[in-house]
Amino acid sequence: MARPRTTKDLAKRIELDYYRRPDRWRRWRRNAALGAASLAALWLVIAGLRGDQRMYNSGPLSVRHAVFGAQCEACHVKPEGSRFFLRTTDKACLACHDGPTHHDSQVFTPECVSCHVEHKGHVVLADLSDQHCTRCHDDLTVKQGSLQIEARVSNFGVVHPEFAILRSGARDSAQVKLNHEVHLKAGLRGPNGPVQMVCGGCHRAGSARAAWPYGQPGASTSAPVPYVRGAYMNRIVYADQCVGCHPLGFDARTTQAVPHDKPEVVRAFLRLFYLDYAAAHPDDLHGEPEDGGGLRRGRDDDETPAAPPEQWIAAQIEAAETLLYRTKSKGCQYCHVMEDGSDAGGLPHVAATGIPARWFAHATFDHRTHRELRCVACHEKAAASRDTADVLLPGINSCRKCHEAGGARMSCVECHRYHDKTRERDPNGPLTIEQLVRARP
Amino acid sequence: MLIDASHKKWLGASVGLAVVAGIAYVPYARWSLNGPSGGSWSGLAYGVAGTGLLVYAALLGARKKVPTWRVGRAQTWLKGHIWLGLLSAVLILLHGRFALGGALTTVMMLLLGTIVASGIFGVVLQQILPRTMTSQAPLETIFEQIDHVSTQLRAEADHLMAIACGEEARERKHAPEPAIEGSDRLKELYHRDVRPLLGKEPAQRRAWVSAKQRAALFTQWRTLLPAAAHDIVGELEALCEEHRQLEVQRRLHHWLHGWLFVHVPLSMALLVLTLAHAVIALRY
Repeated sequence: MARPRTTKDLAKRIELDYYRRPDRWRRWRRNAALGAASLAALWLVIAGLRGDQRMYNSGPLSVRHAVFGAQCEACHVKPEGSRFFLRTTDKACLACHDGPTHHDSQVFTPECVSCHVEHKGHVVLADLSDQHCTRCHDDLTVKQGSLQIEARVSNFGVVHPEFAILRSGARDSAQVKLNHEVHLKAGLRGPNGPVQMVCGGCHRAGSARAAWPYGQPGASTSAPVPYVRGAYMNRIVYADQCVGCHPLGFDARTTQAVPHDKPEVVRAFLRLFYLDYAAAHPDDLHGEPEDGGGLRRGRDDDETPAAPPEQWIAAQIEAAETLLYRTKSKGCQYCHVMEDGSDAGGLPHVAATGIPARWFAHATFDHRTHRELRCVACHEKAAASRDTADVLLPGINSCRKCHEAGGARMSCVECHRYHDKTRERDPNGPLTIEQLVRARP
Repeated sequence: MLIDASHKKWLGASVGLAVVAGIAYVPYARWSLNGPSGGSWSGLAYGVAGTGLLVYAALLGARKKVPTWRVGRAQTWLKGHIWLGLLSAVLILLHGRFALGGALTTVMMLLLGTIVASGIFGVVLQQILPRTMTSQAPLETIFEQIDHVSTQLRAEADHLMAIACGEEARERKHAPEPAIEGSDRLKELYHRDVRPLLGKEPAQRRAWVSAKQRAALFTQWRTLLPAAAHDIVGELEALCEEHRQLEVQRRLHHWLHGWLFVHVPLSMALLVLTLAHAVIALRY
């Protein structure tokens, strides 16, 4: 039997006032919505009561600023006349940082935060895009005077001039005589027999600690170039790189060498040496020094009368200094350039060597990051160079072999720094530790 | 809401605006000095536009609460809610440069993602479930009245059994008729197999999921009971089928609207956090 189910029957089942009663589903939904909104508000309130503002960070701070993660006011300060809005002003940055001007003639100085953008989790805030530099250097003008550098530099790979030192045809102004070709020949006489010198025998980045093969054993004096440790080659120092093959002998009667120092120091050393010698060898106080600056030897059959010690010593010193200072192919002049004239004591002026520690006056370079390359891979002319004045710096095209689009990085900040580090203040900042951790100057 | 041809304009406008916003983002991200940032003018523009659309989407709830407001048809608001809500997610992604940022913005992004995902899930369900309901529960009633109608069906079933056992008359005015043949066996089967399934408890209701099970049960009854009881069995079967369809309707309704328990509360939380984010971001 079919069950009757008319529209009227169905309508009778429905309560006419059902819609007036609260709907359970809607009530639950409304309560859930209010609960979720309350939870969100509660989170904000709890964080506010705890004074923890880290949740509002738009992103992670850079490594160096991580200490200020919970102290927004360390950098975000109220500008003049503002009661609500906060800004990151240069003043806030300069409270801790030193930001020396790029150049006195620069047309405009950007705000710190226009270049160094925080809350992006950058490890290095100075790692900027080229656009920051090319804003000016794409078409450089200066506030005053004439432009001293290339007006248009927009891209290392294409629109960048040759390095200034090479572009101008400049010569190495170092006052030292060095022939790279000779030094790299096979079979050179070394301290303990024939040697084949290599670049690393004399040139090493500051981080290298191995003993110098041609230096004074156990007495390394070669200080790293005072920039980034290991980035630049150690200074060439006689005691480290030269003494093994070029000892400063001055008298055949001894194996001692004069110190590699100023003429005054050398004279004092000679005087002490001959005083001791005269006391130890009174029989030798006769005879004349040999002409020609050769090393002298006292002779047993010398019949000349013994000279008074002072006179003998003065003669010996003069002979030694003649050998050291005034013989072109030997002594100091073998490597050094002597300036004209002499002081009141007759001592010569040795020209300062002036070997450049850095060749790029406005750029940096790091030998460590290029350690996988042979030296001559970049310094191609080194092995054939005979003249000290040769500039052995590789040209920009050598760099471009690797630093090109799609290859090694080639952004401006790879080599250049905006802030003139030579103008930085001394490292004696204004804050105490308490002020630093509270982040208020 | 069924996505049909009437959504074409909304779809076209939303996709068009998203494409324009995306195209504008490329040069902004490529050539802006410090890369894209939510705090730059362009980034702020994306943020303000995205937040505006988010607030508009949230106002749908208010619009539904006050149907008498003359601010456009609810259908139009719902279309705007769907398409402009999706567009707001795109704009906010561009505002946030596709990054999560700090703790607050990370939570906001996760909320936004969940809200959008639950909304899409809801829209998809609304394309499928209403048709399923029409085919699987043609005897549907008003959702809020399912319990009430079920109670009536339960009483109706008990009444049928009383008639079969000679305890009650079919019409009030008449005297009860004699019990039909096999009524004792029928009563026993009713209380064993059917009555528990007409109960109020959810576990009992869930047993009515399969029409095949129901049909098999009553086929078995017909073999066990004399022909005189078959009419009553037929009536009981029809009644149980209606009850079963109401349970199917209840279940489909839960699916159809359950996602709102995620979508709506998280939207409210997001609005609160968005307000805090806007104030703090503008201040700093």
